[in-house]
Amino acid sequence: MGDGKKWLQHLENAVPKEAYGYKLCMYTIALEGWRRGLDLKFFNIYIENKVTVRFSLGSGDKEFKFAVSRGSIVTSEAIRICVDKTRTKDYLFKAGVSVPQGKNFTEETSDETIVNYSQTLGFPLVLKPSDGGMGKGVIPNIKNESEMKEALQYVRGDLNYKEVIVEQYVKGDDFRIYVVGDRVAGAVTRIPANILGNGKNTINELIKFKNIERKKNPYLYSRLIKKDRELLNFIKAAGYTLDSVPEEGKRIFLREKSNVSAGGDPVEITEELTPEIKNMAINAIKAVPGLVQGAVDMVVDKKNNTGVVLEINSKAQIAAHLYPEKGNAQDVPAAIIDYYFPETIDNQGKKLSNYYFDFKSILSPLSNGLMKEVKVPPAPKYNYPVKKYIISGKVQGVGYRKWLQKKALSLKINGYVKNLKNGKVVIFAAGRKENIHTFTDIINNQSPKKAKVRKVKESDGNKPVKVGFEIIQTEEKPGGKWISKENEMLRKELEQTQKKYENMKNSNSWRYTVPVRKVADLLKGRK
Amino acid sequence: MKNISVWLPHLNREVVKGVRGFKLCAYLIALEGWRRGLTLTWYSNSNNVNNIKKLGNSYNGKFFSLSSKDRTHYFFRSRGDLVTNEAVDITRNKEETKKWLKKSNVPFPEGKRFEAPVSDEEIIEYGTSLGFPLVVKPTSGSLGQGVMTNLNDEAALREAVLYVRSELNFKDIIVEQFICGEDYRVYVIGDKVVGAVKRKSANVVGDGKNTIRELIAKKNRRRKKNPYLYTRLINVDKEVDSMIQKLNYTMESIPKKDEIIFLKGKSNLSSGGDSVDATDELTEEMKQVAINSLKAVPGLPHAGVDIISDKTNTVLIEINPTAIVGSHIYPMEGKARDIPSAIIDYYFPETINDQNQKSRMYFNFKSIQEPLASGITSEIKIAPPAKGDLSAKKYTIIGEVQGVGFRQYIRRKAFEFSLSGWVKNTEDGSIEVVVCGKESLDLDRFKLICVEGTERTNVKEVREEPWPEMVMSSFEILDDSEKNQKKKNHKEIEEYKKEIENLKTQLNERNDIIVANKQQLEEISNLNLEIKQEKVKAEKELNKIKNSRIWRYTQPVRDILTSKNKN
Repeated sequence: MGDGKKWLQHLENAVPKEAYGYKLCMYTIALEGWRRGLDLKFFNIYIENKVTVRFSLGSGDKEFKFAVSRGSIVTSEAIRICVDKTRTKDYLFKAGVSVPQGKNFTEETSDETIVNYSQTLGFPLVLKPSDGGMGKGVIPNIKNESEMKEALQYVRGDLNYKEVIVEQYVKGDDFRIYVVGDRVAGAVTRIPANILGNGKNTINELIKFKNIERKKNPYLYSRLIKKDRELLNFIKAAGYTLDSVPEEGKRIFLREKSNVSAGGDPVEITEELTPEIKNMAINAIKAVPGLVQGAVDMVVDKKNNTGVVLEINSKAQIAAHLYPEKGNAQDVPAAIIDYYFPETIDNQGKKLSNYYFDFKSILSPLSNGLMKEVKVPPAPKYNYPVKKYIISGKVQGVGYRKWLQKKALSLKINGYVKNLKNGKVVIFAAGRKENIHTFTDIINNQSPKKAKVRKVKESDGNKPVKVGFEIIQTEEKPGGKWISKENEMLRKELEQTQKKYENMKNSNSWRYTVPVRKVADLLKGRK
Repeated sequence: MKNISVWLPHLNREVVKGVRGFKLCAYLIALEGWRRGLTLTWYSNSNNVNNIKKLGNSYNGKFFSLSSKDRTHYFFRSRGDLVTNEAVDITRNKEETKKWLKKSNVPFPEGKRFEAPVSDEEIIEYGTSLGFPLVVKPTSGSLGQGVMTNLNDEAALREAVLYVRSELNFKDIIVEQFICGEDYRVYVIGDKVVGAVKRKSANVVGDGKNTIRELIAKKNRRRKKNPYLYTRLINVDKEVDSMIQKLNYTMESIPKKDEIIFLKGKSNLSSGGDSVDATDELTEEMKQVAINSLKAVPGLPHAGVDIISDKTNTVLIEINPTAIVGSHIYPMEGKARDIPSAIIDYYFPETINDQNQKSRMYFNFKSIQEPLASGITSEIKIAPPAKGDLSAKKYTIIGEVQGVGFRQYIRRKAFEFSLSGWVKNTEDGSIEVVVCGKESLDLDRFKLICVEGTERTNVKEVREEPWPEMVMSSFEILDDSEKNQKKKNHKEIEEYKKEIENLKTQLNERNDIIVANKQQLEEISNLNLEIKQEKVKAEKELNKIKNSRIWRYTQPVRDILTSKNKN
């Protein structure tokens, strides 16, 4: 929180681990629609023979399919325009949106022709592949002819992007502004990987601390700062090594690239945007026919309150707006659902919903080809209070959880039950007041045959509840350590007993008494 | 061996592994429809998509639908929605059923139920009017307790009524005509009998070599391989003991070759009975009774029907539209009958011709249970099976390949190649992969990936075999999962515990014997001591006498006497 970031409260503890990373967009938009009472389905499609998971939201006869953040109102023509950077620019230019001047060059064009064109356009320039993505192969701030030659060699030669764009390099801040309809829903910028000195720890340690923080961020948790050669060279140039201890309050940048995947920080800046810049972004989206939403990449000159639009991404990731490392999170999923289902705007109060849905059991069978489509049960209509119970006694290994699951489901109670390591069982439950009442009664007075409940501790829960009633498997190493141990002990006991038994069979007293036993039998017989 | 069974190759053990009870019925029918290209959707408990009558508390894995382009049919267990809910209600009520049967002249045993307040005399009077032989049974009894059969006259009836009502204290009883014959479960669809099984009490057949104990173990091993019976083993209990005692056998006796030894009186499958296919045994008349009973009840195009028949007389006992179909598909003796296929033929006749190009795939039923049971999902549509010609191979990857994430890697690659199948660790340290795809070229490419391995593996050899069996539609990492391992461990522990308990009691018994023996030993040595003492006393006396003068003086006399005696 040191950097002043604020995330959305209704997403706290409501996003399962399986949705972390690039699936956050899909999950958070689906969650928003589902919480407003829309029907939610996940399904798979094959794109170039590879399975991809998609989702749809609907109510009544209305249904929209979503690819990442893009809904099916966006026309396929609009998608094609956005993929083609030259066409995008044409549309923007025609609509009066500022774009950097430049030109597209096909494979047949020689490097010389491109260099000649560069001179007429004037430096500084930027060179980029026509159909590259994710900033790959983008060479910014090319200052002269020889730099341009070098860049062409690299992009067209080494990287093998034959078709390229040359355009004016505009200085300023890189903003990514998310627009839905005629509304700016969010805006982020990125700052390169960095650490803040404290006068005590080394750069190495500070990177470690920073990575621990990043792991807590659902969007960044797998995008850590790597100590690669590029990073070492960069700090070396600034006069540091990994063992340097930066003074307190000193921010040290670790890389030139600001990509989040290279350890950069996303910063939410919607609240800093001027109306002029916002309008420019909105007009950019409007400039492309059939495009109603998308991320507009802009370079903004804050001093002069101007900017240029570089490109538009119709299928953008939106998680950076939800989990910035600095700034206030913007609810882009809500804005998207507002646009697609305006009739649910009034349901926004539901945003404070206590409920979310499982993702793991949906995702993996859709990806491995078992399922075609999965429907998520409707979100509960009210926010029922959550109860927590801790059950002690003989409650593990006796079918307690399975039994309880049946009771909970028949009472339409959501939540979960889980074995604790200390032999107790914990239950989280949310449902109608009278049902919870019955449920509490059952917990206190009933149990499956083999179980023996000694004590029930009841309290109020405060975490969101997953819809359904799940038996959470306690994580254990294969086989379970304690079981193997118990197994081992029993094996030994058995061996010992067997030995004892053998000894006894061969023991003197047993053998010596054989005749006696015979005599005794004789005597008995006589009597 | 006489009792040979022939099962359907497309429903082999692997396909139904781990699916049991009522879910097995649902799965078998769903699978048949899915394989013919129908869209298969499973529903959770809370899903009210269709009001088909559901029984019991848990519907997941039992409630599904199959859809073609123009229509959808819903199913609960083995019953489809062409059976009306009214028909289900009728068959669940005996009196109601009889009413309809009577209308169509379907024979059933006449009888009546008598509640507690009715006097014994009234019951006996009714019974006599019904005509003998009769059967008397409690309304609420279970497992045949208090069932008195073959009552041939009023005296026997009186005795039975007194016994059941007064001694066993079942006040509420049924008196019914007793029909002598065998029990058959007949499956009828439309106006056709598609299968029939009869039950045989738990038994073993001698081979002249093995003891009864060994024969039971052998039989249970066979039952364990039967997807329908594997949880219903022969339990050696008091009844078994007394049954073999009656034959003058013990568990260690070795029965003659081909000698059948029945181990239980009841023929319930759950107490170890055998299901025997009897489809070809039915007479035309028997079939007609079964078919007519379905026709008698409106809205009942398919059901399982229980009949009793001695081949000349046949009566109907019960109609069950939600019947179990597993016993027809996995009989212990005889030929399997493809009831699921017949049901799908009936509901989707347009797919009958698709049978020949039915997919050889099956889907992982177990994986959809948990998300449905826990209410995490409310419906699941299964991805369609790959159709047409598929090639499948099994690769055994030998080398240092376990515990290095190789299975996960293989799974990823299988996804990339759009191959289905499975991968698993084997006990000898290698990995087995089965892959299935449309292009055999893809399989060859995939094999190269196995041969190459990863940085962390050391693949020595990849053996290739054709895979003619069924293949799963998804690609999965199979068993040796934590859960299975845990279960195995648990089982082992339970077994150990039992064994230890046994040994301990044996030890204690031996100890007791030793203690008892020691006591006896002491007693005996005491006795010995006493005898010794007496002996010493006697010897002393003897010596005294020997040494006495009179004895010595009389010596010559005795000598004479003895010589005389010799002569």
